[in-house]
Amino acid sequence: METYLITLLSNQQPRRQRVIENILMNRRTLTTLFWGSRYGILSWLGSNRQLEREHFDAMLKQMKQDGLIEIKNQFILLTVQGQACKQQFSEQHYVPRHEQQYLKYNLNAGWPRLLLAGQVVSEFSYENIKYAPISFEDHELRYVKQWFNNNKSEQFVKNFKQEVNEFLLTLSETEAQFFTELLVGHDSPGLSIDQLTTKLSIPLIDGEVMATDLMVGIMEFAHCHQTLLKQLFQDLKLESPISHSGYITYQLFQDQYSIEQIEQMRHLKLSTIREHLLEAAIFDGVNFPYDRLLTDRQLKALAVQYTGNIDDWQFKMVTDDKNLDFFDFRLYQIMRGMQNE
Amino acid sequence: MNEQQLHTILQQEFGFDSFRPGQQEVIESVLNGNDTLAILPTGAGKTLLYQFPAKVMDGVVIIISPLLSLMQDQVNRLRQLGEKKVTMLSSIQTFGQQQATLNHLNQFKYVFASPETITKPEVIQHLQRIEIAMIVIDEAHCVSQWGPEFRPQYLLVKTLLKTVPHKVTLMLTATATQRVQGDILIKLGLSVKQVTTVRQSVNRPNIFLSVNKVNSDKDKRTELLGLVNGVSGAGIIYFSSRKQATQVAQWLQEQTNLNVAAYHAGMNQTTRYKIQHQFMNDELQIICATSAFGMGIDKDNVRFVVHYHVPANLENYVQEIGRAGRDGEQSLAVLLYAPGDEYLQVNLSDLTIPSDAVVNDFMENRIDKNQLGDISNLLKFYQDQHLQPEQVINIFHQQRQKNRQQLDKLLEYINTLECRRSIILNYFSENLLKHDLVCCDGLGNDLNINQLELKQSNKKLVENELKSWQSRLGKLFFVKS
Repeated sequence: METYLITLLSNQQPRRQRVIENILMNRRTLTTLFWGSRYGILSWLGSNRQLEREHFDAMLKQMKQDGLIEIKNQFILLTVQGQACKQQFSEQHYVPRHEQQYLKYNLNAGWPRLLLAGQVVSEFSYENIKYAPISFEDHELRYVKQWFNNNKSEQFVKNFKQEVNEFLLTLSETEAQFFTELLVGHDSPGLSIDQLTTKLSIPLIDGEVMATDLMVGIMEFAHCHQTLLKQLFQDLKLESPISHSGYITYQLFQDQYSIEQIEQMRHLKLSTIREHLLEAAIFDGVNFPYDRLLTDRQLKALAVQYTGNIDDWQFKMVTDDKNLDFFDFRLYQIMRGMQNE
Repeated sequence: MNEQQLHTILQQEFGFDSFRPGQQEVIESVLNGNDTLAILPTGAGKTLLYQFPAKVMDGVVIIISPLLSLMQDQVNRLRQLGEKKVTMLSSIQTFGQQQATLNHLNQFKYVFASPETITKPEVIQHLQRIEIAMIVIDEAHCVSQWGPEFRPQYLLVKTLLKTVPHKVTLMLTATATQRVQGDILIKLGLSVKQVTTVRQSVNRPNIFLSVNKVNSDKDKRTELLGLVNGVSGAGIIYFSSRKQATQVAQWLQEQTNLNVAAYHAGMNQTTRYKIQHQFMNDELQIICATSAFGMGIDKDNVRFVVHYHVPANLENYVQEIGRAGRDGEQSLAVLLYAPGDEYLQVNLSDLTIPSDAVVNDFMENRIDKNQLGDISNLLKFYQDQHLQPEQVINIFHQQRQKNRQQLDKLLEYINTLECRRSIILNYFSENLLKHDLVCCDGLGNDLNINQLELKQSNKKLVENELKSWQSRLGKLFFVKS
């Protein structure tokens, strides 16, 4: 994933170093989500949870030394050379196709689920019951076992193979080869991403990104047409990218409850409810009912108060309720940002 | 249960005609309800020691195991043997997952856990509610280990044994000197008189012991290359750093036509599973590993084990070379040594032992605990046990001294011109029967690989070219026509 970092940077918009780091590591504060959305990099949320700050900073240091970026007050901007490098990067590296769908799925659980299911079907097809499953997680084992028991029939192996085959037909030869070699089966443990990228002579980072992208690809595919695969991935499709608690608040709000009512119903602080709604606005974009929270009069006042580049707006207090003022400001900022897109 | 009944079960349940040396004594002792310390060499068939009683006794078998990767290996092994009711309480579970496992403990026959997890008060509460057949302490020498492997929570296992009702305790280890044996029992609160000790020799006569002294790291690589090209069959090369293991694996892959991979605990679980199984399937010939590899590896035909760095002590060394030659065929263990290599070990163990100043600062809250890492865990443990700073400092002094002594023993093994095997056996209070041409490279008997007549392996032809995805799919999912 390392050099993909350059694709998260811009030569026009200085981007906060820690926001990018937090996005990769899935540190979901409202500030991170807001700026992640401003930078258009939210789909990378949680894509590198094991990232260590030391390592991240070292990558930036290297890029700076190579003349690709400038860092001022923790804001990163691509240099002319960096911009050229970014463009070249997309030409030379794997370009994800399903990036827009990443937030719809529980990405980390996809491969472990498919590998285990593939192994179960493969061993079943060779009539072997004594083998070491690739997963150690009781929940995963139970889920796949139930899926297997619900579908076991004479045609099971054939149907499963057929569904996977149909998905593979939508891929390039390299992608299909990459995908099948990762799978684990009877008497054939498959290859690691590291081994596979060496054999295919592609960079390791491309393999990592490809693995994620193809996983989202098969989950999308499964939800559109298939039965066995659809059932297999059913619970990995998220109800929403919004945090669980935020989602509950947003649903109540959409059911026409007011902020005050939700505050009472959920026994949460007012400021928490407001944060939930801002999070919902960030993820729901233009579909968020802004007009229920910002009146025409407020909008007119805000339009006078805040002008110019949205990223440069400085929050100003207008009443003596700082929390409310900030909420209105940020919501307006999100709304305008979405409209501009 | 009489001998005939034991053999009937052995045959019917496990498909074996006879026990391996030591197995029967341990199983009988356990079935008679005696707490048992079993010291059996690597490859003696440890799994059966708890799997057999588990078949006969009611209740759950708890296995305390030091490493996640080892637990995963063991869980895998049991599942491969057809045992379905196996689970693992581990740090990789989320809180919810762990709760779910704890609430269903009764439904499992085997529960694996680390000492850290199993001694948590809420876990102990769950254990008190179920019927437990036996508590197994695997790699029991860890209870007594100092240095990098030291795990304070092992000291709480004593309380666990006292407060959680169970029928019998079984301690398993492959290597333990007399001193360590005694220490294990003391730390677990058991008395020597009440415990049956079953011991098999640590000697593995079919492994030729050799030390290769070189001048530099570059020479090490040259020697290593000669070795892996000269010996046919599978081999494991041990390193003390992940980085080196990875680098040398890549280098060997480039320099030879062998299939080589690295293996260490920093790799994700899927990759570890794949590498391990490729090795067991003979798709890989060489593994460059850290000590995370091998505790649970069940591969008979490992022909050689090389140590690229010196291990911390002879116990570890004997354990690690024991992964060679489980099939009884002639095998080889080579330790590569360059002058000064021991300082790496000294540094490694010193890193894990805090200085007097750090101890004092910690105990008086003058230091940021987050900066200390694992050491802070250990210090906090002592603090919670109400130890005074002087006592803690004293413990660490002793620890440092013991590490040096162990390393000195290892250097004695490296530097001897006499029989190397006799040094190992003396260390474990055993006597050597005879030194011969296939014993070791001491007494002027230099290593000659050709003369050793190592068994030629019938290597699977490994195809380096990937097949088409259609053919891969066909192989994965076999559809009868």
